[in-house]
Amino acid sequence: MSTTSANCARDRRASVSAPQAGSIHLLALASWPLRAGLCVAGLALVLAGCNQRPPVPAEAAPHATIAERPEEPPPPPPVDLVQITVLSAEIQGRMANGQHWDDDDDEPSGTGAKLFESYLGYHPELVDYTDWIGIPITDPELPEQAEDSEAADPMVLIELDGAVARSPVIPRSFTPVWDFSYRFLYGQLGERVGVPRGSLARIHVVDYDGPGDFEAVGTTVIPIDELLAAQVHEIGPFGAVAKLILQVDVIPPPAALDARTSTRLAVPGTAPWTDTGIDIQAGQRVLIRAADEVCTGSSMPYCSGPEGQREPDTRNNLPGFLALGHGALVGAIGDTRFAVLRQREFIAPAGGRLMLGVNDESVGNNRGAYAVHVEVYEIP
Amino acid sequence: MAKDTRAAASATQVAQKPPPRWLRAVEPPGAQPEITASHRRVARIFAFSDTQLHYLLGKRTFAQSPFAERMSFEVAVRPAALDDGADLLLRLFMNEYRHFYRDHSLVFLGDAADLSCVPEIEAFFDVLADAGQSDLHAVASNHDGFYAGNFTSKRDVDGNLRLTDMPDDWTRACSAPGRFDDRRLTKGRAVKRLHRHVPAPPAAPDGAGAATPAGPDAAAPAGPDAVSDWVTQASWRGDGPTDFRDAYLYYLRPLSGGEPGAPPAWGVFLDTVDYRSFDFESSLGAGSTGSVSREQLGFLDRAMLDVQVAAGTQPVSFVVFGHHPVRTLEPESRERVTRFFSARPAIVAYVTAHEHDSTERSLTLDGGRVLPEILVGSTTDAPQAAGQIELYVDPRGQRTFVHHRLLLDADARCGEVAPMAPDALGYIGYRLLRDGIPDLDIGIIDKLAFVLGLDDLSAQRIVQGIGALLMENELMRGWAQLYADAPIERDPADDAALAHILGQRYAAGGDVAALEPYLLGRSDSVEHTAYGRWHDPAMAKVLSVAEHGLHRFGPHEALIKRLRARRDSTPAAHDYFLCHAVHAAFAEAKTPRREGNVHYIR
Repeated sequence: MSTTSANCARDRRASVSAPQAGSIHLLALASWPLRAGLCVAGLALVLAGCNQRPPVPAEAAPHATIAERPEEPPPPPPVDLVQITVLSAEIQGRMANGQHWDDDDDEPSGTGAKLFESYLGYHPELVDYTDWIGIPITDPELPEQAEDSEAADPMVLIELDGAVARSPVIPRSFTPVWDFSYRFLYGQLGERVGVPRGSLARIHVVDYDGPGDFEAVGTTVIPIDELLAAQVHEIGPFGAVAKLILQVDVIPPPAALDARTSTRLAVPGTAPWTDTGIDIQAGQRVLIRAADEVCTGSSMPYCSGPEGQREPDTRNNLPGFLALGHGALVGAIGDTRFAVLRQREFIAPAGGRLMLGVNDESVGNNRGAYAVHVEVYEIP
Repeated sequence: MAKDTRAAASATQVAQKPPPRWLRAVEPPGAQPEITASHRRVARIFAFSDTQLHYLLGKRTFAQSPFAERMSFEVAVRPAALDDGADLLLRLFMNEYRHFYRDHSLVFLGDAADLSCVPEIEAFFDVLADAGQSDLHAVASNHDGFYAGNFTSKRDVDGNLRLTDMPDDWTRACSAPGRFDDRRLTKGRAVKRLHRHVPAPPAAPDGAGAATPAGPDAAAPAGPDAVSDWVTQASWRGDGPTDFRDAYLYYLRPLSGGEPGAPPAWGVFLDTVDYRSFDFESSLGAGSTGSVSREQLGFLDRAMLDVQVAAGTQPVSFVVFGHHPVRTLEPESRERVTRFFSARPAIVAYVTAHEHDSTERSLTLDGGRVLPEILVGSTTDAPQAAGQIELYVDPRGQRTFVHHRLLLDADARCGEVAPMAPDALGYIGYRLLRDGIPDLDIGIIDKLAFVLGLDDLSAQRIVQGIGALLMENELMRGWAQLYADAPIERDPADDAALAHILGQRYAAGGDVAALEPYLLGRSDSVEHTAYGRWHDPAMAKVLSVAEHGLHRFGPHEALIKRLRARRDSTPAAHDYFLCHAVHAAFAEAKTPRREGNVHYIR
């Protein structure tokens, strides 16, 4: 950890114990149940001022654990492959204004819209399919369950140095269990530059009611180095989050930069969706390539490669892919849909089982199959 | 001793002195892409095409008639000096490759042969062997496997291909005098011969070549007359003249010439005479019109996927090669190939030939992307040319290329060898005769008469058959003039033979009118030669007589072979024959082309 970031971390601890912590923007941290060194703080407002403040003397910090370390810690390893798993949370029954969740008809807050923009900025493969974020292909009715339920529909977003990953939506739950993992490279490995050492992790819990329609439940900021100091963290309360349980694992990086698992499979044109058997973790780098041909229709079949036919077929295309060429290769990870076409490379925007399909709701009269090669890289 | 040392040093210097360069790199018109220091070169290609080596000794047929020469294919008949020296031109290009472009991938874009005879393609590979070149990225083409480059315009109404007397006409054209053995270069034979020189593929990565279970690739070939690996499909099962649907050759191979550590580049080699999806009944001109089957593109599609997977995260660039330009493919193939290009941004260019013209075109693909179509000229027809293509990738993965035409500098190479005088025995004297021979006109009425057994077409074939013989007569005399003036040693008997040929315009008389008695049915009075016994049945009665009055290459086989063997006896002799081929090609090219129904397709 660099001196600057260490000081900044101490500074934030000071800030949460200061009087302004009672502000609506300051989500106080009072419990350190698992580890004294855990730092949970709030807001961008505080963070923005972080670097402008003079370092707070160690003796002024509310917890002297760090200051009392008898010796300098050993230099950090040059690189870590870090996996954060968001296990579960407890969420308060009402919003800060006393309303039930989903009672608020206000437009999405600026913070929520900006957060969503950040998420899409990091996952351009989703830009054309935002209406279908949070809707798993295996359970398309789920969003309807989430609406007007008075309960929160929590989703977790993790921001790291511009990268944003998110958990699935858990509809109508005050005690969501996500078991959602996000993997990232911490430091630099060869030519591969990951999240810079000393960076902060921002964790947002939101009530997700549709694209850009966020109700902030709570946000907290933690130095990554502190997350690395223990395997399990119980964080909270912050905002309306009473408790958030994280697990942090450090994975030895693979010897080769391009270490990957490769899978070759066929995606038949006759199946609505094909289970690839590949579980993807958010943050992993995924490369999907496809070839071959699928023909749709029986009396006068139209054939195309994975890029799809020239014209979309709005009557028979899959929901979410109406503007895409009919018969194109599409994909889904968990509750996130995207077009694959002939090739798609991306940082997994969500976690879950990778499903692949043909953009056609009436697959019974199709023939042919796409040859698909999926590569999941160990290093994002 | 010192003198000896100096002599040795001098000899070494002479040996190390690079040979002169006769191919001049010319940029095509238009702005060229800027190549900066940050670009990395990923491939270099030396492409040549359309050597059209012609088998002189076979029997002249309809395909070399005045009709064919005038109405459809301007080079159905080439000057004798050009047919005689086309292999020397090929040798020049191969020497240039060997000395100056050795690190380039050598790509041959088809039409090694002219009539599609086995001796033609063997002559082609003889030249390559002399140049020490075994590996060759070659594509299938219409003159290598389809008689005279064009199998037939259409099946005859009775389905028997009687209009041009195929395939016997082909056999006659390829047989040696006195024999009727089968030396047709069918598509299957051409594929087998070409495939022998295609470099072996790299080892297949794990999982490559796996068939898609529900995919349309169940017909993957196997057995002694087929090859199927992860980047190759070749079959020469079909050996007969009409078995071309079972013969095909298409593959991918890595391209050489990249800088160390540069991302990979691969060539995709199409078979544009793949007529599996071609409807002969509704489409015209198989051969001059190309075709690419769905099965072929399906295989190449999967192979390209495997190549990309094998390359990991490196950006793979592809250059596609095929004999036929896109506009000369039949409509369905054109659509198919255009979509194939559209869906693959990694395809940087389509390199093609067929039209004997060195130029560039643009193919507008789906979505508006423009793909360059690079046409490589002929090593035989003027202006003789090859093509050099260099492929680059910038740090952002953007691909670009630089294309130069490599034009033979005829003035520099042949300025000291004077061309023949443009008299009746000049390079294109044979063309004077064609204008006196009526064109073949086959309309609906003719076909109907043919169906009814009236067989009006036979009279037209007789006229064209005589026309072919008349032209051969002049070609033979042009060839005799070439060798009579050549700086080579000749036996007195050979001199006398050449003088005899030159001294008598028609063997049976003084002019064309001397043929008239033969056309009036005096065939019984003439003894048939062994060579003359296998005429087109429709024309045999007349032509077996008529040819006795004309000079032909076939009966002079021994003389021709004896004198041709002396072409390299001295450097001056070599230059003489090479340069007369060059001059003849330019003389042929300067003939005004007719507009209208003339197709500039070779």
